Amino acid sequence: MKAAAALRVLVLSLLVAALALPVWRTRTGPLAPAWLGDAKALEGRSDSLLVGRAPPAIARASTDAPTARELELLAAASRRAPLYAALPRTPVSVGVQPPARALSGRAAAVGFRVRGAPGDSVRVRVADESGMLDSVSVRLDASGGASGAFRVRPPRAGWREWIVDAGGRTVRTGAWVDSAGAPRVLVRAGFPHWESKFVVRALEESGAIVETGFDLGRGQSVAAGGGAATPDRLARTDAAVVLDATPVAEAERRALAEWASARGGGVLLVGGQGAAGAFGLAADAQSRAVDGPAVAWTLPPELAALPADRVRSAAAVFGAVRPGTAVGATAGGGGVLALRPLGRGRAAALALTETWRWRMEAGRLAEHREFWRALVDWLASAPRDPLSIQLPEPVAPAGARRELIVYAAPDAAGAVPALVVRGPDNHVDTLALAADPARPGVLRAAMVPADTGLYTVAFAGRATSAAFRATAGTGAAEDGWARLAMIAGSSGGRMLPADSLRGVVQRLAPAGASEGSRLPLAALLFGAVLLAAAAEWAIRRLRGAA
Amino acid sequence: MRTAASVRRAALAAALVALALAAPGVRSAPSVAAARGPAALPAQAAPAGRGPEAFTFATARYESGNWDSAPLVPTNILHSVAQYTAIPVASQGVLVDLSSPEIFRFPYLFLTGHLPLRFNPQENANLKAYVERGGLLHVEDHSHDVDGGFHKTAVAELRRIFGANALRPIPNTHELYRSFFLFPDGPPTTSHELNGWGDGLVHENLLGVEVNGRLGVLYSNKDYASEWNYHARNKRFQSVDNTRFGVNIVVYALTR
Repeated sequence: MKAAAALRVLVLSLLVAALALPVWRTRTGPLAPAWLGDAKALEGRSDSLLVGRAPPAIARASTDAPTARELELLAAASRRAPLYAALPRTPVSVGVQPPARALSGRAAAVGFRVRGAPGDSVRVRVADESGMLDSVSVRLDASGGASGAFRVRPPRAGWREWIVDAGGRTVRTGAWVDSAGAPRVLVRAGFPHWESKFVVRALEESGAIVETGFDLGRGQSVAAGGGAATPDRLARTDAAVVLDATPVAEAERRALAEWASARGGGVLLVGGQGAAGAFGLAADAQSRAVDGPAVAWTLPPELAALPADRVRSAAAVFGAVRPGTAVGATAGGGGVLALRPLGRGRAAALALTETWRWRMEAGRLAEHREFWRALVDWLASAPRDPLSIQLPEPVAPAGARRELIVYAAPDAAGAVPALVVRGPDNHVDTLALAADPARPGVLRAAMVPADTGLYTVAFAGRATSAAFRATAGTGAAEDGWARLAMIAGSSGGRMLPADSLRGVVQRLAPAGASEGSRLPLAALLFGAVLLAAAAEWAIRRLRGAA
Repeated sequence: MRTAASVRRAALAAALVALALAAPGVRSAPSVAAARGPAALPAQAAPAGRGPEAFTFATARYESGNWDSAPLVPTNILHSVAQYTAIPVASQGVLVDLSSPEIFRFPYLFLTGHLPLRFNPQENANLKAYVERGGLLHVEDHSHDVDGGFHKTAVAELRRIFGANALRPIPNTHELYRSFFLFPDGPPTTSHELNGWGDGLVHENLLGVEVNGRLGVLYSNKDYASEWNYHARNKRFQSVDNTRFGVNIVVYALTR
């Protein structure tokens, strides 16, 4: 009986030890760090990390951007152990700038800014719902930065999103696209020549609607017609191209300038047009030949450059430009392309008078077509509404504060209507605008979107002119690296270069620690309990006890 | 005497060699075996003067056949373009080798001949690129005969380059017939057609290859090459100027 009583005490002791062991191990256990290669490894070990066994440290070795699910698991696990994570091999961050104004079928710019290791080369891609649109490789400068823009052409009106990817980072932006038809272009050419032929051809091939005005005959009846840019003609035109050597009378010049500044039209003066000065553009043109490779392009992103082919074009290169004029291209110290706003419209001067040589001699059909179409799009896309709305962050999580900025022309700043915001559930909010005391003509409002989905913004009584989308948290690990660094820091760990991660974590682990024996102590104790219980039962049976 | 005879023979031989070298139709074959694309264009001389370049009538010089069968056509057409239109013209036409990249500097190209035609690979590649880029190739059958060697071979060559179905009749309502002068009945007839020379037919339509809705190749077997191949001074003896249709072709090339 004494032996049976002793066995009962032993069984109870082992049972208590088996139950208490996990708690004891949790508090003091000398376990090795949990090494995590990637999200799949994390999923596989999440049970042991989140319940039961807490390692002294969690080490994330992957240099890929963390996914949203991975961040959730790491955030939970890091409450129980410090997280050490490897830095990406090229720690790239990317910012994106939505188009300031987008019109369907017209060129617009999606800007990007990349930061990373100085000297690194990073490929930046832009995509939309239809797939990849464009890509470019940028080299980061000495400060580790690079910026650029993609020229996009949204096909339809309404909300449009673009995804910019650089070095594994993905950022999403969007814009409200206003409806616009194909640009209607009046090409004034005087007598026809090869440049007029190929400008008209490039524009028509690109989908623009072109009206030409040739002065063909010597008193003969001609079918092609001719004639100046009259107000009636300009009323059905978005952009006017006045080619080199076109005779432009004073009345026509006045009509063009009035139409551009008051009606929002765009005028391009090519070659040595004497009217350039009247449009606030460079007027002191000098005739000389310009080689394709000698042209240095510094264009706004909406515009397209001509390639640096071995093509020689006649040109009327201009000197210094007037204040308010941007130079889009130079050659040999002279201006080749000048751009400026003109009232509500836009004006430009192009020195090259033989761009057709890029098409015929160099075979650059697509580039020649895009050069002219983008130029006409820019001319025809001056904001005609005196009020415009801009949203710094068109795509951001719900619950985040959104700022809405209104730019008002001087003649419209006095009576700016309130902003009407329609949410995804058709709920309408009216936002009062407050004038920015530091910036005349700028008004601001803010709101916090509660629901996810698309919010449209309009001035009261008008059609939608802006929009933003509220997302459900971080979907595509957009700020994944930043969040990972935050989790690591708050857990007591930190981000480390991938090469030094293992060494640092091994120093943190207790000496002789391993990832645990194949037969855990709790299982051995459980087996001993069973054996002791069986022995106690056998002793009682042998002695005839019940 | 023997010496004098030897000198005379040598002089005669030298003169014959010089004549042979100077003859325009006798040239060594270009060293082009197979062309993968149009020839590359060297940098050109700087354009001179201000304003758009004057229209230049370019005649294609090709390896086979007789490219120089209508030497007075360029001057005659330039004369008419200058006479009727405000388009500035170069004082004379130019000859460009069809296998040379120079053709890309002249978006209008005139090609004619009597003899069978066969483009070499470089000419073939250049012509295809020329038309795709927006040039207008104007081909005239100088033999005005549907069974003639030029017509059969030129049509076969154009179909080989641009596709079997690319060369099609141009409707007589085409804007080619109203680009300057009005030709409501389509292409004007030529005296060779009316006199029953050649195939004895009055061809109702010209043929053409269109690229993006514009003529890239204009093919005529009405023999305007013969019709326009007279000295411009003799135009005054005609009751109706028969080069007016040539003006339409030039204006079409410059505006479309």
